[in-house]
Amino acid sequence: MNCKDFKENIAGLFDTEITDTEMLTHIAECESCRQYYEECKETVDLLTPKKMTGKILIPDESPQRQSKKQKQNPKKEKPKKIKMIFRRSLQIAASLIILFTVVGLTVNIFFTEKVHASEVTALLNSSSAIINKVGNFSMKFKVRTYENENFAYINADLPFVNHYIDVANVDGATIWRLSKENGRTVINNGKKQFLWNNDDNKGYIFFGDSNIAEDFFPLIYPSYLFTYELGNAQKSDKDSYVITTTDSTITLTVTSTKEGNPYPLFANRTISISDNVREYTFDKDCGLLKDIRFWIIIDGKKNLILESESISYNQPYNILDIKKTPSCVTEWVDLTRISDVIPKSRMHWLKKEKPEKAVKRILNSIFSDDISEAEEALVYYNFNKLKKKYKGCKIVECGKPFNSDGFASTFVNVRIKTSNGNIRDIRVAVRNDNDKGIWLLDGGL
Amino acid sequence: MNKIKPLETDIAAFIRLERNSLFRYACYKTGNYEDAEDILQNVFLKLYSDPQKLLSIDNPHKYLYRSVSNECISYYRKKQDISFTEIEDAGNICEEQETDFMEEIARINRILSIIPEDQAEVIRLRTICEKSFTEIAEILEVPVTTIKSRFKYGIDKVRSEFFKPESNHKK
Repeated sequence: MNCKDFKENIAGLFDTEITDTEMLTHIAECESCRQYYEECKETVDLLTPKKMTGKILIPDESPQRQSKKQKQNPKKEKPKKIKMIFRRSLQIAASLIILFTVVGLTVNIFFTEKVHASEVTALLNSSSAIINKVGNFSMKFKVRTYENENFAYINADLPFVNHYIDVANVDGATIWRLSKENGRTVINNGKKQFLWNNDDNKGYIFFGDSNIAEDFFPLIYPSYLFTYELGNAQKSDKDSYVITTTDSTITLTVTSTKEGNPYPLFANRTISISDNVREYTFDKDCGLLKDIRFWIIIDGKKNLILESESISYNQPYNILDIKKTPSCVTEWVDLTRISDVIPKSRMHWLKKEKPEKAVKRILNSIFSDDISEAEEALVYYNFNKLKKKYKGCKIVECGKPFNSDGFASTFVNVRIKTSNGNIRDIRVAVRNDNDKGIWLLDGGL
Repeated sequence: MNKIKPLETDIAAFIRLERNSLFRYACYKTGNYEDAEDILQNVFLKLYSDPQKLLSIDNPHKYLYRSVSNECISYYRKKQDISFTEIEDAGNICEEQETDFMEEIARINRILSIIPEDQAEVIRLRTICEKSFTEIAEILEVPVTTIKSRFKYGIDKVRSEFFKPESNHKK
């Protein structure tokens, strides 16, 4: 691209979605065009409102505003008051028409009301339809978990970790980024997914449809979340539903018993094993989700485990910011190519292998410094570091596999004898919830 | 539960989604907060008081923005003197001194007044209503390439005013 073409097409960089990567490449290479772009950007910024850019619609009549108006139009005060009452009546009437049309006259305005499950259907259907039309959205939320833990672990005893989701729909593909502050990040560029932890120089590439976002997947696709709630509302008679309306919001609160919540909201067992409360707040004007909060109930006490801090829609964004991978990752392990290199016969028995056998095979491979026996299972790990730590060890005894609340992994307790003769107990975690269905080492070493 | 016709539900949902944007659009078109309120109410009431009209709308996006635009134009004609006064009075307000929404409307409208209306309209729909160029083309019924050209020329004109060395406007 030359500078003339760039300047001709500059408008493309100020659309709601930037899809022309050639333009962005040109900015990076050409200083003069970069300056031109920066000036245009500053100009567009001058013309972009900073006030009332979000949800505010109906103006309030604060004392400050009233007093300002009195100063501006002292003679018009009396007619204005009458006009204001008339206008307010029209306003309420119009709001009622719109609201009743959408929620089917099921919700009492300005009241908290316990409603039947079926009565939330219109609200969820409407919100789901609206959110599907959104071009992009960003969410900041906090979850009780660890920074570098996977996206399937929530524990009410842990402190909150900030999480960020950025989602953009580009040409029919959904591009997204999910990250924990100072921790794990996964991005989906529409074709593949890239995962890394901030304390590791190794990153992993997965197929686009792999469930790397795990339990946070429904937050990336909120319509999926609402579909789940709809399905649950139709199946369960043990959940209770409360709708609370204010002048600007509609809040749906779902209280589930663990029995009444047979399909976990997230795959997370923290929620499926506990009585829990899920709260969704929608903007009354635009119908979009503006807040989300989940609690689990332990000994009758509500424990907040997930809470959104901000959700914004259709804000200007740069697709490259969402797709950006870190420079600190120097090695990318391409897991989409595993099946290319594993012979079919081997893949066949790997898929059928029992977890305890997989753990034995993986440990023996490390202990005997022979990576060929477990190369696929050790993709997340640095084999050299492991063999240095465990070289010469032997398995003494291997326990039965078991699962633990809150973890997607399967655990096996193993007693080992170290090279200097000491006995040590370790708990090895493996998981096979990948697209290949084979056991991968997931922790414990 | 009342049964809602799908089309009505779609339009109601669409209005909910677009309502803030339509209001901002009306504010900037009229330069007046309260008039924008009236205009929006008029448009919604007309829409809901005519069920046949509601059912005949095939492109609610285009219909709503054009309705608000038309309503603004007729309102504007009636109150032209008031709107002009407010915009001109606010002309010297710089960004740092903005204390509320009205002042910002006045500032942006003053800048937009230096470029042709067809270019200002595209910029308004893009920056104030957050519409994509494709959506703007749909609303104004002109090709996307024309929309992008209008945006570029409008921005270029404002840029040249604000970035020329002797400019007093630049922050």
